[in-house]
Amino acid sequence: MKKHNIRRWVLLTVWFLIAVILQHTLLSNSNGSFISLNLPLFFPVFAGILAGPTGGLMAGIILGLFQDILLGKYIGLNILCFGLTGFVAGRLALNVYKETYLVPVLSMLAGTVFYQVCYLFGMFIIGVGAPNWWSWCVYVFFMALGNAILAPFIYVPVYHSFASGWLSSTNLDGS
Amino acid sequence: MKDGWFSKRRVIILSALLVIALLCLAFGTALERGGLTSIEKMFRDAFSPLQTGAMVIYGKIAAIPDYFVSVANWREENENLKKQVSSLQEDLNNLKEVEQENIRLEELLGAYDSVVNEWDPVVAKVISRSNSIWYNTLTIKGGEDQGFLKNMVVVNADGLIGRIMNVSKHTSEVLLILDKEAAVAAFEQITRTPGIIEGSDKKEDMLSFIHVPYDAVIKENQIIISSGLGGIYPAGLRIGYITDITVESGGLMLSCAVQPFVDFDRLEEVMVLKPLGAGVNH
Repeated sequence: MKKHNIRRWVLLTVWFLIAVILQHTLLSNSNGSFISLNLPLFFPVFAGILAGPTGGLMAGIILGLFQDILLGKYIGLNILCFGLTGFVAGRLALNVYKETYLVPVLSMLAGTVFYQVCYLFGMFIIGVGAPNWWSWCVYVFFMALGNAILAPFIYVPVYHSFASGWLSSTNLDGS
Repeated sequence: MKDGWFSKRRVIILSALLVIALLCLAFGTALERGGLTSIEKMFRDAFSPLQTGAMVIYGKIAAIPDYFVSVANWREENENLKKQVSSLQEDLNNLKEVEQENIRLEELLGAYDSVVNEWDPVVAKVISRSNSIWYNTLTIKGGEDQGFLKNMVVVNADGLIGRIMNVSKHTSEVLLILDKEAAVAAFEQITRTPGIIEGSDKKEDMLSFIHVPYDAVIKENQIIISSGLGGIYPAGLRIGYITDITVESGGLMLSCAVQPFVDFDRLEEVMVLKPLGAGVNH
């Protein structure tokens, strides 16, 4: 494996770990605040935008697997939801001019809602009871809003790194 | 893989199977399980130090708002302490005032130990001082309620101040010896040369010792005291000292400029000499 590839994978792993750790520690303890975030979701969505549907799918599957193992419940659901979200984000962003700030904002807004709908749908299929709809809508709305607000701040450095920085050597899908 | 249609269908079928498998897995793990698998245990064990570290950092970050809340509390506490300090400072000032007053009163009483047998000295606070050019008076706290009467003598530790001119229920007006109307029969302490003390025409805060016999042996710095003649002022009260001696216009009498011992501009407490058995004394 080439040196720049190792560097890229190390960077991606660190980003991935930081996102998961923060989600399972800091953000899971920030109850009571309206704006909530889903940091791991940035990983498959941005992978989808920058590396295409396959990249998004792969990132989502890896992330989902990690999340599921950590949660120890509903194993497979996060793999499915993150994977699908990454894939769809990649499909939708195929013909989009990726330098605009609207791309991360809209994709995280839509991606968060899509992920939550997938998760809800999955929960229905496996027979978990329906949530309080109003609470669910408020929760999803504020999470989408929070993710959308944060998105440009993460996307810009990631995009530049992907274009000409540490993440630039090869795409996630190996193309 | 070269056949696109086959490849696409295969992908769809595989994806569908994968989705179903994952949903089955999720369904299977939705219920309470007997325990974690070894892979899960390994993952969790590997992840726990990172979680612990993150929680430590989170604890520090979460403490930041508490810090600001504490700062707000400190500010409030600081404000309260400042008020307390201010209040204590005021109390301290009051105590110093009381201490000073105590010293003055001790001096005042000490100076008149000799008159205690004849007089009933009552301490009174000065309320105001008249600045009129027509008369020199001051108002003291205490009047009929204290048993003060007209013509009672007012002194302090330095000497004679004047006499009560008017009395109301709670206040008394004191005519100072600086006033032209407040003539005091006096004499020079050593030679006993008699004369009259009255307010000076030349200087506001000076006295004149007039009607002194031409042949009197008097010098500057000699002390003038009350003689007791005239019936109002008792004998022996210190008045002032001679600063200048001149011959009166007729050429038969001497007139002396006298500097009073009392600083009339700095009077805070005075003592009213009540004749023994002259009424109320609180």
